[in-house]
Amino acid sequence: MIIPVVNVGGQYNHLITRVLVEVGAESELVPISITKKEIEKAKGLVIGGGPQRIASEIDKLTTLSALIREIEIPILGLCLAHQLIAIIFGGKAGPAKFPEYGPVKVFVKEKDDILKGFPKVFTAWASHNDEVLSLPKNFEILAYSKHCKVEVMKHVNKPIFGVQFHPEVSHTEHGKKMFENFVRICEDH
Amino acid sequence: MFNAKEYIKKQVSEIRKIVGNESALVAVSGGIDSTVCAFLMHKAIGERIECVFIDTGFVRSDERKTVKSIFEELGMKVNIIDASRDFIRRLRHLKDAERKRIVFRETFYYVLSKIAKERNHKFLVQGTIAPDWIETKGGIKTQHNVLSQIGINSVEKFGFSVIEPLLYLYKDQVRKVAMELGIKQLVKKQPFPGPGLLVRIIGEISVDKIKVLKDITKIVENELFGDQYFAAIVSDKCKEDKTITKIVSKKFEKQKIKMKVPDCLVTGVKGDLRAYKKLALLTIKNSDLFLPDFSVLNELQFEIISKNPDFTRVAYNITEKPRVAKYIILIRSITTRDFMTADVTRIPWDELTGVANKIMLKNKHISEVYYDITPKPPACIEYE
Repeated sequence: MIIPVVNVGGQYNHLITRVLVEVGAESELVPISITKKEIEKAKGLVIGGGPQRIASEIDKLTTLSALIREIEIPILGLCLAHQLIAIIFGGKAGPAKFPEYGPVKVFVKEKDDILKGFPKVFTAWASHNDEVLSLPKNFEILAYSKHCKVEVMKHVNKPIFGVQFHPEVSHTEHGKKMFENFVRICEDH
Repeated sequence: MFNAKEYIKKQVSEIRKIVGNESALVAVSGGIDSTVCAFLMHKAIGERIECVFIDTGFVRSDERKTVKSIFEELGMKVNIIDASRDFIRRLRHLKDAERKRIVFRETFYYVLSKIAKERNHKFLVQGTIAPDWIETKGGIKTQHNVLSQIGINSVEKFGFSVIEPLLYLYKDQVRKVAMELGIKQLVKKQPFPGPGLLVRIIGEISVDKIKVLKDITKIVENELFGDQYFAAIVSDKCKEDKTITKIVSKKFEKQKIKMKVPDCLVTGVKGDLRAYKKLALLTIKNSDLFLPDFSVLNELQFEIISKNPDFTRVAYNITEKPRVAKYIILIRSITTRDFMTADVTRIPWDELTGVANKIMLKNKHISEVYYDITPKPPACIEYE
């Protein structure tokens, strides 16, 4: 099961490949300029975070945006990629009123799919200046925190998921479980 | 899952292929990464390696001795090179964190390149691991051991090719490799940064600060615990900042809250961006210093940093003396698996204040001791 990770330049992108390998997938970093043709064999795609500000630097993400629109395999977008997915599907993202750095308490609304097996409340580690400000059409919120309304979201009828915090870092409780869930979603797809 | 045995096999055969009949210089620090590299090199090409330890002047007081005894125990030779004068001469009076790190890196490779040329080594081996190049490439801070990943051609500039056998590993994986190699004594040793005390002297470097911090480091390393635990020093040239009291005063009606800010910045990481920002030194007290539950401080830290983009770190006052003094000491202890994220170690207050009192007794030029209450992110583990 090949699940590449798009390297958007964030601190934890390489860690994502480590977790994916640990849960049994084949994974390596691929550059942000990657095209659909170059990942033909992939059964799913994880897109990491990056230092770009979503509102002012979205023009740096045009190739990636095109890729997200084109591919039909399951997508898990983390942090910046979560915000980008929101914009691509018609939502809004921009500077957070209360940016979150370090541990945050996450409350789970819907446990299906990507959050299967998670407790109702858990501690996740975040690091974001921007956030999803309004949910795109056809998406639903699966989890939220005190300051961030959309911590986890999913498309109602496509396997597309967005997560604001970082499930790939070791401090996030049950983080590995999210990747196990994603691998299973890719297998079932 | 990560398989240390296979990793070693693959690295050894790769090293043999790369080095051929040449010889290699191995830069060692006595830490687990570079020692594992030295061991792998020895396994691969035997006596055609030369291990060197560079005393940069920013190492701990008994570092040389420790390194010697570690290598003796492992049955390998290590040459100690004293370059402390070179380093201190070039770094003295520098203030900016990145400037300091870059001058350190240049001096480090200048010294290594001289040795490599003299003894005709075509290769330099170093213990760079994943967080080093990730942070350097991401522009968070310049690690002293990252070259090719940021476009520096080492052959042209220094005359050697670089070999980095642990480049894609994290600390916990390096520890597995060390266990497999039988280097058990280093697995529990806490990491010490390549630039050493340089990045724990916040702001301007002076010979006196290096000396004071060496003494304090001994105390902290003897008494405290965590996955990494150490002291840092900053001049007590601070400005009081009143904005903070507005944020936190509601919760502490009975206490007096004070926040001061040193005149130099510290390094952090916010949303994958470098945050070279202010350090908040927070004091809450009645007649005595108020030492609340850690969860209270967690919340305070979060509010201060989330609501004030100018800040990247908060430290909390645990001991003060009514005396005019030159320096403030910060204690930091963190828990982590891979040093990519870090939580603050919850050390009981009486242990912390006990250590702080020892620090105050050791040096009369210290006015206050703070405990760093910032996780990574938004702070880095080290200060600069």
